[in-house]
Amino acid sequence: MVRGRAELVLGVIVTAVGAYALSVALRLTLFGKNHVPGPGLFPTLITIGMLILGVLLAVLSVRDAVRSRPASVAESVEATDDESAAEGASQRQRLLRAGIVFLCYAIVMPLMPILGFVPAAALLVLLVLIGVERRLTWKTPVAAILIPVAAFYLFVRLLSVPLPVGVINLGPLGS
Amino acid sequence: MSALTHLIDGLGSALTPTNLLWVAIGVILGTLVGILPGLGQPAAVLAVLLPLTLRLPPTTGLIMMAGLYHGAKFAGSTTAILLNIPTETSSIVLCYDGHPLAKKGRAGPAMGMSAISGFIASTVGVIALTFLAPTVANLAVHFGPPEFAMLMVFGLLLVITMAGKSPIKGFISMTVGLLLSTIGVDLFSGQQRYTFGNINLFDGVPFLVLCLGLFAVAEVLINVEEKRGKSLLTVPRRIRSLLPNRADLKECRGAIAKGSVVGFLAGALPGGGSTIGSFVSYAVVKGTSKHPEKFGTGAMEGVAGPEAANNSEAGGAMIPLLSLGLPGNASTTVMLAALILYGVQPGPLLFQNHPEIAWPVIASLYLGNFALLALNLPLIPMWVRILKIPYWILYPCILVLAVVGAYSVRNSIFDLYLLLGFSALGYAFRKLDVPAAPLLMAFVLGPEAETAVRQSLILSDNNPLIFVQRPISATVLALAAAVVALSIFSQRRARSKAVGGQVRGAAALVGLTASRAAVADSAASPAPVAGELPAAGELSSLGVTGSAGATDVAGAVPNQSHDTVVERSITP
Repeated sequence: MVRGRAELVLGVIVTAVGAYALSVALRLTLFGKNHVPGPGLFPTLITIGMLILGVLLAVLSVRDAVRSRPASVAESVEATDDESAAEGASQRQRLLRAGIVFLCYAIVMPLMPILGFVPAAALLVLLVLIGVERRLTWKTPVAAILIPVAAFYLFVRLLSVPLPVGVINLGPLGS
Repeated sequence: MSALTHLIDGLGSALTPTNLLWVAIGVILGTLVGILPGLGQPAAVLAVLLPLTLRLPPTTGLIMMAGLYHGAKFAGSTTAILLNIPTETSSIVLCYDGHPLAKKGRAGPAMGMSAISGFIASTVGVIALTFLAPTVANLAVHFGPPEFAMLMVFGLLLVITMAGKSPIKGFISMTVGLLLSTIGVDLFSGQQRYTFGNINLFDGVPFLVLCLGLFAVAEVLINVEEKRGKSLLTVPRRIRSLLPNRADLKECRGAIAKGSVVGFLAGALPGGGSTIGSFVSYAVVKGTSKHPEKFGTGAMEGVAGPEAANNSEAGGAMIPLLSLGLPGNASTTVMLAALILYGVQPGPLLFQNHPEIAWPVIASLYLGNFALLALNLPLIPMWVRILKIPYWILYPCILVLAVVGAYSVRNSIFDLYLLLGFSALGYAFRKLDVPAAPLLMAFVLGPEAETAVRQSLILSDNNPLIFVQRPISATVLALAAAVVALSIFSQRRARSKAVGGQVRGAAALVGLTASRAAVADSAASPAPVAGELPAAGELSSLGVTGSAGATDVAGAVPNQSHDTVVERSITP
């Protein structure tokens, strides 16, 4: 049932995105001067395909949900409340861990142009190791310093690949 | 015969201790630089290290470039297999079976198979290049926009081979990739598409940023869901377990042969390249395999076929480059630049005017691959040790390197936000069982497909029949239809096998139950013979009830929920 619901949501999202993208595509030129194919032709075809696929997925997920209802009822009788509660808690825990890592990434990205690569990356490693891994040992600050500094020397110094430079002057680690 | 003599002469000029030393240095440098995100594409490796090769004599410099090229290709396979990060387009397909093999503790054999199949295919490619160059060059000249468009359509239709359980989700992923590929300024008209006035989107979405978000960071987010104290994947201790065994080699013979032929042909077509070659090869190998159901879960053939195509393509790609002066992909474009910098103009007269350059270049491709095999095969245990790094250290490194890779493409902070967005998209795709590879494949092929379709329509005054009126184009379209039909057939066969097995199991179980009941009730109730497939009506009369109808149970294409229904509703 959960899978069917997820597929229904996916189908609806794809349909919505497809409809919006189609509305944008229709504002572009479909055929230009002398009936030359314009920039809107390809996006229009793609978004129509997207719309059809989204609707199809949603309809099929509803159909499958209707068909599998008796089995789900039987299953729900067998499954105990404790089991499903434990499973739900575990699922929430898993999502939380992934969510925190993503949040750390989202926090650090805007700081890259302000702090510069090395301090921002060090902060990212620190946040992840403390916030997600709960590692409060000497290894954490060492990793937080070593990983960005090694990446900086490898890319910037050795391979001349530019990395974000912050407003703080960090001497040899700044540019 | 003269071609063979020229090739032997070429090998003679290439096989000097100095050249061998430089090809070895090229392979090692190519692998080391290629493994880094942002520099993983062979073209990027060649471009970064081009100044180094220009300091050497022309033949030695070009031989070193061959080493760099092969080293970078192997690095792409290494990151795809070990970390599920394809650093170049042709290694996307390796994530499908290479990484699952690594998860099963078979990273070493997968990497070994990648090197071995690459070596064999490269040999095939060089031999074919030596003898078939004029013929294939003639064919390539007849390849216009309609043929190219059909080739791209062929590539896009191959999505069905990697769509997994749900072809609809595969096609949804493909349309998202196509839509993302249209972002930016249209090259024909200069009109902006889906940029929303943001200047950072005028050049479109960078491939590497999309790739890092969808694969590298999304993989981290999935793996981090579970707390892992030690390493992510198991690594066998014995060295012998780190290399492919005889059974692997025997199993992959056909896949290597098919991949070599497909890769060579794809490489020989201007614009074909290794991406199309690797995808077509995967589809062909999967479609003709005895065990198509294993693909996507860690099939060694799924590594051997695409890798063979990927390496055989190098030989094929040299045909339009050397004989027509047309580079087929980014890597051969850098090679073309190197040739021009050396004062050599590729084209129909190259083999007449500069045989001392042309043939050693072909020979160097072979040497580069030999050096790769000789140097990297023994180093596989060292590469596999990456997996032994505790995951709590490895994943912050991946996150930091993803930032470096995304930023390095255009030196733009905006790309870091794109990385963030694509990471979320990749994670959502994983959670919803939507395959990400079709998205990436469509993103790569989309712009080329659009250009070719629009050019063809201009040529034909908007008559779509142009695609079936031209013989080569019609043949490519027919081949596409054949490969898709083959894929659908093999998928149905695999599913019906699986369902047949389940229903037989169900029948046996029901039979056992029924005979027990018969003993208890002293009633004669004939149990179905295990192995015979009972009809749905019989099943329901025997206690197999549920919503799956007759066609769903006995039919060839049941979906997963129906399988589950059959499993669940067997009541003793």
